[in-house]
Amino acid sequence: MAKTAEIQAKPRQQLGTRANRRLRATGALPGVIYGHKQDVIPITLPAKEMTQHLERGTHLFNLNLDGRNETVLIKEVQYDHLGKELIHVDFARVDLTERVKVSVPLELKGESIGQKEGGVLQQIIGELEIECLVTEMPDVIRHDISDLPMDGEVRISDLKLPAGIRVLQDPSLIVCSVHAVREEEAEPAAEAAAAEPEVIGRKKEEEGEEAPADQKKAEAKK
Amino acid sequence: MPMMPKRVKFRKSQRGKIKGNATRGNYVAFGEYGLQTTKEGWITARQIEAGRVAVSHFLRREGRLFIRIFPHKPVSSKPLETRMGKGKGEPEFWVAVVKPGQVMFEITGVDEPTAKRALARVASKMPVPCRFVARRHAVA
Repeated sequence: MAKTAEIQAKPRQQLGTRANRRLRATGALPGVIYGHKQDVIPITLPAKEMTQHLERGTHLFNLNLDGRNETVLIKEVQYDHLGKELIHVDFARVDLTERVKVSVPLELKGESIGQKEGGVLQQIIGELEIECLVTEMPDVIRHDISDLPMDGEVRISDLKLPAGIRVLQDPSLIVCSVHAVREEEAEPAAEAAAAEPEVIGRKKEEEGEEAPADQKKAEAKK
Repeated sequence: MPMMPKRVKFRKSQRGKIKGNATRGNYVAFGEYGLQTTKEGWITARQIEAGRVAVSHFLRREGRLFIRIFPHKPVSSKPLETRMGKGKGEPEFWVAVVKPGQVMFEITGVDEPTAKRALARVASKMPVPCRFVARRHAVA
């Protein structure tokens, strides 16, 4: 079950790009709280603490805002262009009795039979979109793949999920598969390497006429 | 054999400018670990191929490599000792245009230290500074 993390937040007075840049330089992180038809509150959070919570996969927070407590769920996280630094966090107000839609990491555990035989495991879906009660929200969903044979696959419908959780994705989607590594293809002939791509829209007849002209041009340049 | 398009609309292209950061292809999507560029640049088809060969030699038959970039852009050049003018040169090679944040290569099926060592070999073949990145799970 998801644990609620406690975090101290302060209301943010100055808004806009430049004010937020200055804020980030001091080790703080801008954020916003909204939802439940109440006021939108721009806030400031400690960046380091927030980063640690996100690395642990925490979804649910108990924000202490000027002595007032707000139970919130992370709605959106923005990173910089390299995906390295946190830029902004959106929080949505939630009730503990509410059903919410969240993305939860999907972890595969164990070594499959296929991998033992020399196959490579490929995880196609790394996170599941689920709908559940706030109090029943898992931090992570783990699936045991020890029985997965070579060329086998696991679909969303094969996952064993805790009670009360509904997956919002197509149940026929493939989560992971094990396949043998393909042999490297032999080097094609050198002629192919020198070939130029076909030009769309240029008719073959024209090509025949133009090719000598092109060659003449190239020769003239030399 | 280096990569190149099968069909193109125009044989030659202008050089262009590389502005801004990558807004697509900027996270690890297929593998577990990736190699991300931190600067913009042109990656030639031969450099991509060199990276692929470096990984396949290092990993032998372990793991799987994904190449997330493709050389769509033809680069032309004039022959040596040619006077200026007389039109644009002939296409010589193909490049992939990358912007900061672009994930160029991804690896799956190996542990983190092995992936790091494999992608370090690829990074040494690249004309741009790179960083090792892991797949990040969303919390929202």
